[in-house]
Amino acid sequence: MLLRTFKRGGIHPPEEKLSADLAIEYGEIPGSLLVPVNQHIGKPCNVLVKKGTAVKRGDVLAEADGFVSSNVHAPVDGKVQKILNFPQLGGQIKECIQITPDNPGESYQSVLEGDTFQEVDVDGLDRDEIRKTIAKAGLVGMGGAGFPTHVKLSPPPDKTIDTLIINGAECEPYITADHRLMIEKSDELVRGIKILQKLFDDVMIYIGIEENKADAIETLEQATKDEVKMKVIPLKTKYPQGGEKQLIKAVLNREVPSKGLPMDVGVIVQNVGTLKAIYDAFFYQRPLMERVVTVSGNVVKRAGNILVPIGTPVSYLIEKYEIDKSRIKRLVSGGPMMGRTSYSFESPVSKTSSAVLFFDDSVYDTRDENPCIRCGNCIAVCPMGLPVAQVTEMIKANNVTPDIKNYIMDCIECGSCSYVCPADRRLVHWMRFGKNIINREN
Amino acid sequence: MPDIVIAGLVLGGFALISSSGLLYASKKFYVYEDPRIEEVTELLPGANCGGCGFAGCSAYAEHVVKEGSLEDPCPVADSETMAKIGEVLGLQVESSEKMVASLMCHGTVQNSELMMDYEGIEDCWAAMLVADTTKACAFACLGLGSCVEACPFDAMHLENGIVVIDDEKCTGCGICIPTCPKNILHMRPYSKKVTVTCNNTDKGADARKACKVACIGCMKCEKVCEDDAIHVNNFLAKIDYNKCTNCEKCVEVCPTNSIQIRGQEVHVAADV
Amino acid sequence: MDASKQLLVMDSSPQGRVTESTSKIMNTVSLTLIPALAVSVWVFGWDAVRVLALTSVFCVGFEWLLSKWVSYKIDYMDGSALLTGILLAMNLPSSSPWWLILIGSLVAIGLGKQVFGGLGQNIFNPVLVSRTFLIISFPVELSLWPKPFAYDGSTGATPLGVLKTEGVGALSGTSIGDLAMGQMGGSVGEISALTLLLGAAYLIYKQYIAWEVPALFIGTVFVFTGIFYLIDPTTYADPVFHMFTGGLFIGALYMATDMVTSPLTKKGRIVFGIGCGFFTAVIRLFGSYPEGVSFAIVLMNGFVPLLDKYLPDKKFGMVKNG
Ligand code: SF4
Ligand code: SF4
Repeated sequence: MLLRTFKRGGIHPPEEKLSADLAIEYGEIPGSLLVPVNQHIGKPCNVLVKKGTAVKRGDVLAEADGFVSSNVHAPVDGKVQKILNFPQLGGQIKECIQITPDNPGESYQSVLEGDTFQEVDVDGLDRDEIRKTIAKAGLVGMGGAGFPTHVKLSPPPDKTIDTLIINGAECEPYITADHRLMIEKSDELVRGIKILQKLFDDVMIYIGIEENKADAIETLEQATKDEVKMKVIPLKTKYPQGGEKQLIKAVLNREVPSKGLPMDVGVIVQNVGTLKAIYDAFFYQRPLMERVVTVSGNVVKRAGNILVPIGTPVSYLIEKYEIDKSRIKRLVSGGPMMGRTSYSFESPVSKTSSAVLFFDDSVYDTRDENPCIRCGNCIAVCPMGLPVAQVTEMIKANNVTPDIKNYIMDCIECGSCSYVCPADRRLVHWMRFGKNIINREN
Repeated sequence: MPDIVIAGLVLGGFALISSSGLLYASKKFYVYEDPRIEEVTELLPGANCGGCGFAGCSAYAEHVVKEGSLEDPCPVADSETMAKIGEVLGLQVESSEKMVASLMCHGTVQNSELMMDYEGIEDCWAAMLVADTTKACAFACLGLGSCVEACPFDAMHLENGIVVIDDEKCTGCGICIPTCPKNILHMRPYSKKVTVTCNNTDKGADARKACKVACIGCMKCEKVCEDDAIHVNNFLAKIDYNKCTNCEKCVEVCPTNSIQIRGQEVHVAADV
Repeated sequence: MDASKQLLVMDSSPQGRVTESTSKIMNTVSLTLIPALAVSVWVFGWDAVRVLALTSVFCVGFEWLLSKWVSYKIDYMDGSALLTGILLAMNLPSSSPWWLILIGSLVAIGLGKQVFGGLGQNIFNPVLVSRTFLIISFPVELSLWPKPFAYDGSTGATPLGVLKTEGVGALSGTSIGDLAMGQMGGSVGEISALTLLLGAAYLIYKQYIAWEVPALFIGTVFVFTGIFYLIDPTTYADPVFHMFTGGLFIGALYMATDMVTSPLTKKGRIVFGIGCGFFTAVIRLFGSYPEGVSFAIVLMNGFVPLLDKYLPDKKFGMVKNG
């Protein structure tokens, strides 16, 4: 069978899905949590607590300011120790609320079991009510960018949404968090999807999964076999299939226009993790306070997928997985292709950290940039069809013409170009630098 | 002979016609250019640095001649030059003092610990895309030298992970100021050497933890200053150069050495 | 915090890359030339080895000298200079005197590559710049092609030279099989089409070179000369002869596919390949030189910046908004 995929560019890095067959485990409550105040794209939120405030699990720590913003909740019972600026996974320094939990060491599983399930009549739900519940629960896109989910689900009235794509591509190497969710929580996902289905008239739902996750495809096909408007679409394994534009092209063969959004072609894409969170928000009244994180990399003794409360420091994962700290050279949050490096072992897991990867020098070690030998590989693999070699050369020469700007702004920073460049040129970094130049001009 | 005569006549005729055409054109399309523009251009430093906001020295000259005012003086030229330009334009120029760029940070790698091994593109803005800082202090100079690249007068260089500025070479063009993503370069008068070399607005203890020479906002300087020239705001001292008299009293009382006498840092950057 | 604390590496994504590198590509290309070189040694004897050794040493040597001198960084050991040397040797007659090789190497490295700013900046293929320079400057030395298996140093014309000067009739004795194996007069490396093809096939498999360029190059020459052969077989040689003689194979497989001087995009490469083939055929059929491959490639090299500019890949999302 010819599997669907996007046509332009793309690469196939080694998959390295070390933790694909390992069930999601539960962490314990760490000795101290650092909950970042802003974990979304949009307006910063307002901190509601002070040093010394006693908080209960589920309390709002910081409240959304305006529509494009997102609440942050306390993941455990405890006391606010301090509010401080701290380096995040990804290198930025952000305001964090440090919480000393009341019961450190308690298994997070038992905490979860304390939440009560409550059946919801999905058909009786009102659309505004759904959006409000999602907003209140502080849901953001859990694939990496962190765009508030309720905003994404509220397209302007002139856009008709006819398709909802559930992103189960997980094309990045190493990461298996979504993969495990699809296998272990398939029923929950389907119930989550049904809630979203209520939001739009007559919407078709496709679940795009890459073929290297055959078990996930099978499980979800089982779970959706009675649903007429839900379909699992197996996709040919290719990076960056998880990019929204590429996924839409692969599943529907619709092309999102340059500078456009998926809703311009009538599509909304949601990540698997987000759907699980939607399920929790409705059936357990549980705001987004935890997430599944893949712990992997080439220096870990054993990889794993672990459900931890948000704010858990990386040092907890290092201890739990007995990782030899002295061997770690790169700490990457997210996948190796698009993830960001971090420099502190105390940085906390946030709503968007799909994986925490630990590498030494052997997997990737930066070499000096060499002259471009014009092999054209970067252009051949760029999923956006950009003349990468020429554009980056112009950025380097600080010659950002309007033409070049158009190209730069279309880059999705997937990293394919840097990945294939034999001359070790930092093409993505230059692209991002180009975006930075444009931002500064405005 | 006639051949040659004919040829001569034809060519001569051509020459006559086209030269009169040229003459006519030059008269008809003559644009009056104020000779003073050229004079002013000649007087200007001629570095074409763009510090004035114009495309180059001659563009600036055109501007001041047309406006007939020196309200925005050339930032590079010294007061003597400006006075001469004023003469050309028939204007009185108050002598203004040369300004120099100054770094509000002394976070050398000895003072504010390096937190990472940055391997990306050697540029401060590029580094900011990867991490908000390279050092323990979130406000510190990144030490990658985007400003050094930008300086047209070779007045800046990197030493121990921070930028040091040579007051003598610095012409005050101000080009470096916006090239700093951390916003820690500012202008101060050449003669006022006392500088708060910190931009950390964190609380005292946090600032101190991040850097050995951070301003902790203890207010000692504010109390000792007799000229009301230094004030602490948001845990950070700031000097009002209109009032500062170079008495250096604040330098003596500062417990963290975060007020320093600048202009000599070429020699002192390594210690403290 | 103590000073011995290990610092984590901070860098932009991605945290991974292919194992390819500039020197790996260059060295692989050099290695794939070994079979063709072996045939040359078999046909021309130790003279071929001498030429090869001299060009390699001179090219790398010049690059090393220049690296001391220029302001930008030159990595003279990255394999690109060595490859230039080897390819230059393959473009010279095995009887070339040492001074000719010295001049050729200097022109290739200096004029062909470094004046433009080093690796990746040159517009024209350095080897062909050098060869063209030599053909124009020293036409005598470059028309003395040693006869195959005549290890005594006697020389003769290449089959294409014979064709140009004496016409089709003089070629009746040459068998295509001999030509394909390389049993003919010519420069060190251009003679054995089959071994060149073998090496290039590996490179295409490794995706170091684009198959479009050689396929269209050779194809165009074949079709074009074929048309004229059909029109008048008594004046024009048959296309198979054209395919296997002269520098067509080495030109199409190793010179035109040089990454630096060929277009970046697929569309550009297609036009480039056809252009090279067209000009080669035109020069061979109507020009005053017997061989046109190098001229054609150099000519098309000049068009590469234009091809890059006007034949970019289609950008994703160039559809009507809404
Ligand atoms: S230019 Fe941008 S979109 Fe294209 S391959 Fe590179 S990172 Fe991906
Ligand atoms: S992949 Fe690297 S070497 Fe090849 S064309 Fe692109 S930038 Fe140049």
